[in-house]
Amino acid sequence: MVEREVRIINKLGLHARPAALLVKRASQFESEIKLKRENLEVNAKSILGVMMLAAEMGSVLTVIAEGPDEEEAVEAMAKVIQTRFGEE
Amino acid sequence: MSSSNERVFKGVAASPGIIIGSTRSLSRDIQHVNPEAVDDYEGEIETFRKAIALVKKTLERIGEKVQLRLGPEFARIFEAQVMIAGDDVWNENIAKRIRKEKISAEYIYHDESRKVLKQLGNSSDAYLRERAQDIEAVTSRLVGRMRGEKKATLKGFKGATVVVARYLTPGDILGLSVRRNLGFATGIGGQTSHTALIAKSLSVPAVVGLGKVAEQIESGERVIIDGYKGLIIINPTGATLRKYRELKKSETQLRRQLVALRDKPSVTKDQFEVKILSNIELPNEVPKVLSSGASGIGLYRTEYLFLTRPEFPSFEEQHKTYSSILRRMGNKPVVIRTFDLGGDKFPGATGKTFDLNPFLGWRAIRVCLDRPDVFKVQLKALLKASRWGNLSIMIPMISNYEELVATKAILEECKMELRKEKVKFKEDIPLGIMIEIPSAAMIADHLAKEVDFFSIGTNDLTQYTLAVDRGNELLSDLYQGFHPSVLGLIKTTVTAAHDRNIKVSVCGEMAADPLGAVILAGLGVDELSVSFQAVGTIKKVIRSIDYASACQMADNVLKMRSHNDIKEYLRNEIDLRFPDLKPVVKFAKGNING
Repeated sequence: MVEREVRIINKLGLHARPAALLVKRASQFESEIKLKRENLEVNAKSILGVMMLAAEMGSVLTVIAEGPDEEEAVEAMAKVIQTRFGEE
Repeated sequence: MSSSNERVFKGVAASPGIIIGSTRSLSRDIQHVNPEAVDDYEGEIETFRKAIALVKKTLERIGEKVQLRLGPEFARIFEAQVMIAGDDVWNENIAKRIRKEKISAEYIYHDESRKVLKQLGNSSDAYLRERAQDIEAVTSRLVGRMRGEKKATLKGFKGATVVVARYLTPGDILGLSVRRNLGFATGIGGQTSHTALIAKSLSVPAVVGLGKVAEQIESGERVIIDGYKGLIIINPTGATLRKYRELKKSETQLRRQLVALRDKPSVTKDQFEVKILSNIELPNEVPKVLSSGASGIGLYRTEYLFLTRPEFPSFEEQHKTYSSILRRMGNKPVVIRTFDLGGDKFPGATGKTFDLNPFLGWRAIRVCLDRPDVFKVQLKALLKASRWGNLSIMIPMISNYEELVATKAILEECKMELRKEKVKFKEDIPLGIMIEIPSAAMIADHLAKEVDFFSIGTNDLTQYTLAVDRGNELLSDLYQGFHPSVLGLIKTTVTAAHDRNIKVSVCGEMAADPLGAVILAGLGVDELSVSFQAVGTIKKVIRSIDYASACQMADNVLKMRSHNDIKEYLRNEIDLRFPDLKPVVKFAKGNING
């Protein structure tokens, strides 16, 4: 299992488009990927799950992956978030 | 025959018009979905999978239809819903719970969606909170589908019908609106809810925000919906019915008269032209502007590009939107106003950094000058689009001379950059400003030297002159558009403009009020810009008056002491001088009781 903390830095937070992008990226990995914010943990491959996080700019998420490609998965998820989902 | 008394309920007037008919309750009661045990849980899972797939397919189909009928702004609502219905991880989890708990799918789906709604409800971000609408829409569709209700239909209902529901999805509204003689009454929703905007776009009378009442009204009751005043009248008395039948008759007559004026010029009886243009909020209103008989678009409020999402639209998207409007309007003038955003209307606003006093705060041109990155994208998109039609650019909320100078400098910078990039644009695009702050009206003579036209925003001008928040119901008596101070500022603005030979238009609500239109014409305003629904009415006003009398009336009111005195004087004078205008004054602005 691999874990990493990432801060949401794009102004709009996890809105519809970034959420969709995140889900799409997560779905490309075999590992189970979870996103955790405070006490709430959701499946990163579910748009409703990611929406439920209601993550605004500045909130900190923990990416947790478990499976054959867990290293790459966490790396990729962190990268999508840190590059502001390609915005701005 | 029902013996119960007439009941009147007040909601929000979302779309004008009157329907007299019977109610049809479509409350999809998803508030209470009871857990029901199922023995054949594999069968239930199978039914659920089919149902959610059908929901997704239906939403995709509606999205395509909406794209054609109402444009991409509305289609986007359905994109989000398609994504939700197609969430496989989520749906698998539902299937797992059905297997484990042996409970009906609709209960479990509803239960899971409540969890998301609860989280979103706690968010301080207005945009995220609004996404709840999408989740509710998908859930209500699924629950309906599982219960065998194919969709909200009006089968078996004949004649004029008022659909009553706690909530109607945008898809329901579109689906139902193929019928004539239809009205909508819903429990939730405000003036800018999807329901309200779509009803207005389709010209179907609607009252929203009725609260719990909407769930208590049953099918088959006699009803009057008054979309002018936001009223639902159940079991109307004979007297009420007679009153509304009369009203509906004169509404129809008036509408016919107005249609006949469509291609006639907007000139007074003594042949003085006062042009009538239209305000738009969405590009899909362009065909309606064209068929309304307006001579152009006097105000396109670009901030509505954010209607259904929080991101700033890209250069390409803005360019596409602006060119498409310009192209469709041909050589008719199109005034596009740059973003009037700020306070909580700013994309990405978390609601945490509220202006305590947003109308006096970081808004419109103030935001744009602080965020040239955003402003320049818009200006460049406008410049590039200018080749496709007759564009004018308008700047909102100018309060002093320096802001105007700074704005012009940025515009020049954009032009330089485009020239370098070899992007073609028109060199002589008229630039105008909104006069909506008293300080701007008072230095209008200086501002007039720098611009090609003025447009007076009477709503804000009134609110700022009188220090009265126009959204505050407690102050509604104090919001006085005909206050002599406001009319005086309009006069000052017109004089300053005409001294420099530039034109003045008015794009606030005063222009769409028959009394207002008369007095504005008399004050020398050259153009009135109103919603496409009001174009016919105001053209009728202009064609019924003579300019010399209107000027005389304007001179007189400028000497008066109060809003009330002025309105009374105008009503009396108009009755006396222009008797044709009686029915027009009655219907405009929902003033249907005369």
